[in-house]
Amino acid sequence: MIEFRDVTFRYPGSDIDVLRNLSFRIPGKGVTAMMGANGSGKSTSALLMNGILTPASGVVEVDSVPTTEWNPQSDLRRLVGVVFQDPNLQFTSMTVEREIAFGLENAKIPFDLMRGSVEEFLGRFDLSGIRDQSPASLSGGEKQRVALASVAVSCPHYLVLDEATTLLSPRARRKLLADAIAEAGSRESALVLITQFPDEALLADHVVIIGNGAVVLQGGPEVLAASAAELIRLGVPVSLRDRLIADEY
Amino acid sequence: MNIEIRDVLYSYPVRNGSSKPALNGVTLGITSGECVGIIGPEGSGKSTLLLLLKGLLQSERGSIHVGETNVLTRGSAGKALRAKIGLSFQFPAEQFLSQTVREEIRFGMHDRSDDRLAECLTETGLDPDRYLDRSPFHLSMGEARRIVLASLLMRRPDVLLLDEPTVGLDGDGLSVLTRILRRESERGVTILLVSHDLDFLAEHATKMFGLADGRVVIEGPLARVVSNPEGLNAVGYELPEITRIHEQLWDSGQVPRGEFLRSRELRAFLRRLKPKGKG
Repeated sequence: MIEFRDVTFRYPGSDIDVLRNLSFRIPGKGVTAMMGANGSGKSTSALLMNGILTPASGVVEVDSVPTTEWNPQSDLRRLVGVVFQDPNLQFTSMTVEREIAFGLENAKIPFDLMRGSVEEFLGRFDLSGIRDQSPASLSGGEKQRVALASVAVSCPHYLVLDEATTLLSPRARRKLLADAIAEAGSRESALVLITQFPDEALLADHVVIIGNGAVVLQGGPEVLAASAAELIRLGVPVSLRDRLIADEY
Repeated sequence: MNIEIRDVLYSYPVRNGSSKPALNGVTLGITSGECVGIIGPEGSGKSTLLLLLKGLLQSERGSIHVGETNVLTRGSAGKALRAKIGLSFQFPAEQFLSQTVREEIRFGMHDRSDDRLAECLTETGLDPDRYLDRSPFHLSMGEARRIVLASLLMRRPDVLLLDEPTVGLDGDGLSVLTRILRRESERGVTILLVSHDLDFLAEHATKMFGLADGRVVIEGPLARVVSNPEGLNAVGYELPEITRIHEQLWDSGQVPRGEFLRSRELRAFLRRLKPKGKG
């Protein structure tokens, strides 16, 4: 389980708290969706989960250990894999193939095992045809697929997708999420979807809505339909039908 | 401004010295003041098309005219043309050049007044007092997208090219974008929207083009394209929610089959369909 307890965070040089006494839990298995308005602290929360950022006050625990106490920190990064909103921020390699192998190389996975995993994930994410290309030269949607594959290949127990499928065509997005949810089910691992798509949040077992750096609503996916007017007030996207009915389009 | 794209070929170099066509013989015409939606799977050439239209890439073959002028025209005429074409990138942070939001929005502009700048920022739903002195590089994607939009509005473009403008936007941001696009359309601005969000496109576009492997594979009026499951399937899409809502209205005879309503008219119908005592 990932647990935020009274977490406050502010970026250096800023006078605004992005998160204010934020408390919530992400179960150790199943699908959790996080939604919220722009600047509400969703991406910051993702970076706190794997220790890239640390709270100013409060604590983020992963499997009952505060993120600041994981030693080495690389163990925490392997346990909690975050796919960034902007894939350009996470590329480090000259080719797609090397990018996918990068995490496994750092984890000192034996070569034959690594070779097999890279091949499997190139195929699974439909990247075999562009394996020799530079990630930087790809289209936005292709970059997102590379970023996803390069994190998923390490099989983190907690896979956090921070609006990581936004540039995929609807069919590709649907398939990728269905695969990720099925895998979380079979591995009994956890998938965290940070999303602005109501249809993605409806796939989750648990939904957390953040507003102004704090949890304003949480529960099963049914809260999305039941609270459409409240979500609109908070700036959270709702389905087209709910938006039209609420006179907000 | 009319846009005429004729037989355009553009290839990106790949690692082994060969090249891969991103656009291969694309021809399309857009009438001045029209709002056009462009769809297609990843790598189909949508973003490349916008970069060519802004004159940031040079095609290997074919031509692109905006108004009467080739977009690659040298000298002051070409420069003036390209200044009237506003482009927002898929990843907003890729187009930031300045250390503060204030400098970013007025980058390269003679008008240094804070009033116009604050007005444009406010239009995008961001509070100038809270944002003008912040770094654009320290914002969420949704906030960054609004900054780009503000800097485009500042320049009063005649052509708007928006690459996935809804990505990262929250519900409020989507309402803001919708309002701005409606107004710019009424102002006669020619608008090209690259988006996977067919519900969003259905609110604004009158014509659609679908690309696959660098070629135009579907084109037509909005209603025809978004209600054609086979055509959408060819470019990786499914029937959107807006079409499914319309199908109910068509089946019930409340709207003539094939006619597509914008949200304002559609809302009235949905209210009538809404069960009493709910919501």
